[in-house]
Amino acid sequence: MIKRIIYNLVIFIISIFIISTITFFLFELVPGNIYDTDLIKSANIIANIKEKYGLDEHISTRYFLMLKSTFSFDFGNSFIYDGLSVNEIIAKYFPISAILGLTSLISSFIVGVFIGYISSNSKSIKNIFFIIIILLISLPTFIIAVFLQYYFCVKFNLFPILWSANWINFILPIIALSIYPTTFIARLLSESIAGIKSSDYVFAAKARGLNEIRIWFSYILKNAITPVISYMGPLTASLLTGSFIVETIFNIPGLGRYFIYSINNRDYPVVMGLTLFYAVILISTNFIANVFVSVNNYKGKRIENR
Amino acid sequence: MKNKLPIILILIVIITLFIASFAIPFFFENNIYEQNAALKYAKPSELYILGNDYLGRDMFVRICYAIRNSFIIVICSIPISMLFGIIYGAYAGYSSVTVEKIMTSIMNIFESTPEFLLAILIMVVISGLDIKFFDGGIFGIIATVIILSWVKIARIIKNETKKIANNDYVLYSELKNARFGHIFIFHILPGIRRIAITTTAQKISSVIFLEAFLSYIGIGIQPPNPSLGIMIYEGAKYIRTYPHLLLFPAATLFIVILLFNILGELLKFENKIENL
Repeated sequence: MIKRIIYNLVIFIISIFIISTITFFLFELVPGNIYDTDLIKSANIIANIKEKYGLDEHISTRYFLMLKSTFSFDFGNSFIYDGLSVNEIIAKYFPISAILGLTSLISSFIVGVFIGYISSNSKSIKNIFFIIIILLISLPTFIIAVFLQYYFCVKFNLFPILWSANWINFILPIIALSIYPTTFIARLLSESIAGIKSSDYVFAAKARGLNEIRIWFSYILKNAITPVISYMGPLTASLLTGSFIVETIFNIPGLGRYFIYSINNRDYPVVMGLTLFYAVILISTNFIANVFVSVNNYKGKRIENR
Repeated sequence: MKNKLPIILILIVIITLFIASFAIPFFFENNIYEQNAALKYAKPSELYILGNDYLGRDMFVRICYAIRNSFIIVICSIPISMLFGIIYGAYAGYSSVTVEKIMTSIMNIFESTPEFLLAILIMVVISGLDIKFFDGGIFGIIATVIILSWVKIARIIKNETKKIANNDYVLYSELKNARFGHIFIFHILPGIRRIAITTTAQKISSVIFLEAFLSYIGIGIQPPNPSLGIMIYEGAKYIRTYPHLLLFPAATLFIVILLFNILGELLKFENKIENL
């Protein structure tokens, strides 16, 4: 256990190092600068801007400065919004994305497990759900979001179309975000329940005359939930980070929308900081899910070796 | 092996779509970019069976051309990432514990980068580099797909190879001083064949989705080159007044992804693979 935590920590640090290096050099390759506008013509002004933001230094100096700021998690100020630091931007915009992502996570887990459980009970229900699930999986999130917004906000006028930080604004984005993970979890669970139901130890438990409910919870569900839990790690990260399309369509002032905005504006410190912030979330949720799996189940050993 | 009819049917539909998406833009080449002010937002008619878009361009030909673009991306990216993923995964699964640990750690690092963010960064850089193999951002998407998708394939292949490497016939080959190349071709490859084919079919739909997604947020295929993602983005603006601008590209994207998802599920069922 401790050995694994140490291994994960080493991987964590190496990943952060590699990701920051890649991001740094990718951004060196990107054409265009913050001073690349029609308004600024004079060489003097450009030199001043470069000096202010430290862009006049040699690339190696800037690289080491970047590494230093990465590991102290202090990326300085945004180029576009003067005086606003990257940490302030995260503190301001992330809570909305986090509420959106975590609510979708919880609702898709509950609904997905429920559907997976129901569809494992009888063959005909399983087939019906299978068709529904494969249809829903083929629908990209942005199509779902556009149609949801049109029908429920414009046509039937059930939800407000403008953002007012009210709970009612969250309903449609959460539905749009959680359809794909719900179907995925349901499919995963019904498959693994079907596999475990026919296994020897469930048969043995039935032969010992244990009651149905106990067999369901402590024999079947407890083991069948393992693939779902190991999927929860990447899912949490993708819901926290990948919500920018939904944020754009529903006009939600979240962090994902800000990320795209700062890439387009070459706002270098913000991109750097947000990329690493997302990477930290992804790595830590994966790690937590791994720990959960290994605590829950003997199969954790198999997953650990992957 | 009992019932291959559904798979053959789906394959026939996909191949028909493939040929049509290359043939139709070839015969109506002028209609792809040609604008017609008199036919702006025109509803479907006999001449333009899916109507015209906000610049009066023929929707039907543009949708076909967009599918063609998706297919080009799939054809250029999937084989390369499959080949690399299979060789990497097989080598990692077959070799000694230390080498395997290092190779697995490299995969872990790749997986710990947020996928969509990495895609966006790579796309921004490549579109700025001005490489002209394919027009309008297609090259960037191909490179992004290759960089992102080999890891998942490699992981599945690695787990499968580990099971095969424990067999006696592999040990026998090792005793005869067989090289990795020999064992790979004669023992590992036949064993992972089914799972590799199934994974490919499932990857294709996610590649088509990634292309539409990147184009939708405006950093994938660049206009005027048609893409289903761009057409959905443009069509969403006119959803109240001219819904056919959104409905046809959205339905097409849905059907194309659905076809490949069904193919993947059928192959999975046929090959009896669980939890992929």
